[in-house]
Amino acid sequence: MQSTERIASYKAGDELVVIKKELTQAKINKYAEASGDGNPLHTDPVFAAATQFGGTIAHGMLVLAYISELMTAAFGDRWLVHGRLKVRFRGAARPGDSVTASGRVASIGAAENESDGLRPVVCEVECRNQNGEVLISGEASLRVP
Amino acid sequence: LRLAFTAAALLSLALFAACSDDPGIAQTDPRYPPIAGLIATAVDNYASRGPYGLYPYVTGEVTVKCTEEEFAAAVGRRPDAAPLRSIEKVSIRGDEATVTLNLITAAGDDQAVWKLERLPNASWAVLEVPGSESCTP
Repeated sequence: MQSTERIASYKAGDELVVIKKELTQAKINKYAEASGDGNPLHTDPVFAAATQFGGTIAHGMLVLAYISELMTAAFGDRWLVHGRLKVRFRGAARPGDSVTASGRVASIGAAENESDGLRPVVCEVECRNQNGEVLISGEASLRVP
Repeated sequence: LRLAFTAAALLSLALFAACSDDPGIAQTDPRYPPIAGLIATAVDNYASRGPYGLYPYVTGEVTVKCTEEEFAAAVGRRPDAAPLRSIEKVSIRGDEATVTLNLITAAGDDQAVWKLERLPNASWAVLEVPGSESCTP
């Protein structure tokens, strides 16, 4: 978890420490089991071959969790308590993909303008695969002391 | 005459029962996979951006009828957009599919029924979701 001092030191333009994940069919299967999402698009290669994707793909929420992990690493509990994500799913992540979640602090507001005395932080975030294709992009926002 | 009415009533009941017991198409039906693909991506974007995330997946008929803002205002009156738990059932009649979804919400799982329309290129698009029927020009 990040200290209050570390969080307070962030400024606009700062890059967040990237998270890299190797996506496997086993991970996708485990996520399907845990989430209860039984859509065979994610777990059955024969079924998935007949879809517009031509093969199994990861659950969007599984890939989105990598962004949440990125934000948790950067902002700790602040993200878990105050975090909000607004993203667009732009491409499918497949087994075998190497997914990189990255982010940048886009803006930090002033605490004196806020009724709760916390500073609003907005980060631009995204996930890309090993080919540089954007899988998810959007904004993550939270409030910090 | 009474017999004829009774027979007609029984036939109607039987037809109603047959329709309401519709088990939907099997996952092995070749029409199922493209629908499952559309639902997975459309629901992800719906969960993340609400009705605005769903709008790119609606039919041309809907986009002619409602702007993105009108669609969002109509659908936005429903409970929060949520990630997919499972596809409960897919029924197809002609070029229209009725999909029963279980969505994950903060208050527990919520069931919703979406209508899809088959496009000329054999892909599918969203024709109606709860709330969207109130979006009229």
